[in-house]
Amino acid sequence: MLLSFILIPFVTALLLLFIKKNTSANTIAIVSTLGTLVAAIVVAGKGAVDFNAPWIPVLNAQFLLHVDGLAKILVLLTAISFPAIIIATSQNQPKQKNIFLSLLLFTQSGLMGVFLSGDALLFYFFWELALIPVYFLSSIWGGEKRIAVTFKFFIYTFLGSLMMLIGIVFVYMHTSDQSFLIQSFAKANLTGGQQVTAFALFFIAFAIKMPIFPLHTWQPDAYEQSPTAVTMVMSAVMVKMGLYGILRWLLPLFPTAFMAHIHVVVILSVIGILYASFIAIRQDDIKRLIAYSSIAHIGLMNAAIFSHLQIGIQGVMVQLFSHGINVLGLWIVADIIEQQTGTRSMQQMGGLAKKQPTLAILLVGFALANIALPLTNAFVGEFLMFNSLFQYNVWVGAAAGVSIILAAIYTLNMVQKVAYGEVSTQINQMQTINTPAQIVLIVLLIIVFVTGVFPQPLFDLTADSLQQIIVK
Amino acid sequence: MGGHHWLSHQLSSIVGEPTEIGLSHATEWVLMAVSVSIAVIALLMAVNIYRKKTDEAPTSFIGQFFYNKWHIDELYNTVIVNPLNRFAGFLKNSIEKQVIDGAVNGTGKLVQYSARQLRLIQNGQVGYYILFMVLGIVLLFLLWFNDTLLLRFFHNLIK
Repeated sequence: MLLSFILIPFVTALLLLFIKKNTSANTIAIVSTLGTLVAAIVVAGKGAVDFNAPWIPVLNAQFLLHVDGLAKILVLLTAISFPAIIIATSQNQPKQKNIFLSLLLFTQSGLMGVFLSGDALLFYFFWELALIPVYFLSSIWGGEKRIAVTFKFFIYTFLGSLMMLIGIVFVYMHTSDQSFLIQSFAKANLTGGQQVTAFALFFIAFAIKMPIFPLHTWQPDAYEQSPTAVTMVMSAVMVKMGLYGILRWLLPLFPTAFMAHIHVVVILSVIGILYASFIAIRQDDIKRLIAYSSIAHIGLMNAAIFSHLQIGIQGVMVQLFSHGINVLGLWIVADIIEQQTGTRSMQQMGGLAKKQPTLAILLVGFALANIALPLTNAFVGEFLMFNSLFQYNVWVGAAAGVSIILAAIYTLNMVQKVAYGEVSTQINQMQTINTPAQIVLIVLLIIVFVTGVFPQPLFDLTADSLQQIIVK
Repeated sequence: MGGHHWLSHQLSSIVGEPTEIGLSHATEWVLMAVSVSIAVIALLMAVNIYRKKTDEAPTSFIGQFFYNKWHIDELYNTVIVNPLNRFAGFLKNSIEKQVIDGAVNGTGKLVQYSARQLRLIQNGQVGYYILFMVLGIVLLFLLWFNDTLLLRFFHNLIK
C-alpha cells in the first residue's frame, strides 16, 4: 500500500516520457495524481503501517517505509497539492507538456519517499530525487534570469544535502549494528561533541530547505523565476521537507544537541520572521511578496518546534498542512493574474473586484487565511504556536507576535492594490477564468474554512507522532 | 438581563473552559443608560449642526479639529506608517540586497576571482614548475615528520 505513493507517480512519470500528445499527457497526469490522492485518504484512515524490503544488503540499507500521523499529514498535503497544481495550471504549461509533467511527477514520487522513509540512506535518496527534477524544470522553463537563479538554488541546496550525507555516514559509523534504520540511528553511541557535529550537519540541510534567515536568499529568486507550477510545488510541499526533517530526524536523534541549541535557533527564527515580514511590506512583485510571507510563516513554525513544548509542536503539525493549502491558493490566484495580464507588479493591478469578482473573493479568502484570521485554518496552528512561544519566553513571544500585525499590513496592502481601486489597463485585459482553476480554488477555500472551524481531525491524525516526539 | 455566552466554548478544547466575569445587573443597566444617553445627545447635536449647512468645512479651531478626525490619520502616518516603511525599505534595499545576498554572491565572485588568479601559475615556464615541485616536496616531508600532530588534529575535529 505504502509503496503505491512512490510507484504511482514514478511509473506515470516514466510513461509520460512516451506520450507526445499534450491533452492525453495532461489527462494521464491528472488521473495518476487523483489516484494517489485516493490512496492517501485511505491510508490516513488506517493506523500506522510499515513496508519493508531489503535494498542494498552490502551496506545493510533497507527499503523501509513507515507511516504515522506526521507522515500522513504531509502525504495528504502532497497528494492534494499535485492534482490541484496540475489542474489549475494546465492551460499554461509549456509545449513539451509530457516532459514537464513527467518531471513534476518524479518530484512527487521523491517527496512521498522523503515523508515515508524509515531508513536514513533511503531518506537521502528520495531527498535528492525530489530536488533534481526541480533543477531541470526551473532551468528549462523558468523566467529570464533562470540560469543564474537555478544555479544559486542548486549550489545552496546541494551544499545542504551533502552536509546531510556526511552526517548520515557519520552517524552510521557509530551505530552498534551498522544500519541506516532510524531506530539504530536513535541508539547510536555518540558523545556529546559528536552529537553536536551530527546535529549541525543535518540542521544546515534542513535550514537551507526551509529556509531560515540568513540562508534564505535563494528562495525569493527561485520562486520568482521558476514556472509557477514548480513554485507551487516548492512552496506548498517542498519547504515542508526541512520542517519534517527536524521533527522526524533531528529532534528524536540528537535530543541533547537539540536542547543545547534551542535558544540560538529560536532567536534566529524570530529575527527571520520579523525581517522577512518587513521586506514583504515593501515588495511590489506579487510573487516575491508571497515568497517573503512564506519565509516568515515557516520561520514561525521552526521557532515553535525549537521552543520544544507540546502545544507548539502540535500547532506546527497542523500548520504544516494549513500553510500548504493557503500558499497554494495564493499562488494559483497570482498565477491567473500574471498569465492574463502579463505583469507581477502590484502597481499595475487594481480593480480586480470590479473586473473579476469571483477571483477577487477567492483572493480575499486566501489572504485572510494568510493573516491567520479566526475561522481560517491557519488560526488554529498559529494560535498554538504563539502560545508556545509565549510560554517559552514572553519577550520572544511578543516579538514574534508583532509579525501578526506585519502580516496584516502586507497582506491587506496586497488585497487593496490588487482587488480595489480603479480598474487598471492590465486588469481590464482579463478574460473569463477557466472553470477547472476556479473549481480547484473553491475546493481549497472550502478546506481552509472547514479545517479552520473543525480542526479536530487534524489533531487526531497527528496525535500518535506528537506522543512519540514528546516522550523522547 | 445579561447576555448568553454562546460563543465562549469555541476554543475550549485548546485553552480550557473560560472563567466567568460577572457584573451585577444594576451595573449593566447604568452602563447601558449612560452610553445610550451620550449617543442620543450627540445625535441631537449633529442634527442641529447639519440641518443648517451641509458641505462647508467648519472655521473654528475645534470644528477644524473634529472635521479632520482629530488629525489621527496624520499623527499615525508620521509616528508609525512612515518610519515603518522607511525601515522596511532599508532592510529590503540595503541589508537584503547588499549584505546578505552580497555575501552569497560574493562567495561566488571570490571563487571565480581566485580561479582567474591561480590560472596565472600555469604559465608554461619550467623554472616555476620546478620551484613548486621542490616546495611541494618540502611540505610533504614536514607533514611526514609531524604525522602525530596531524592525526591528533583530525581526531579532535571529529570528536
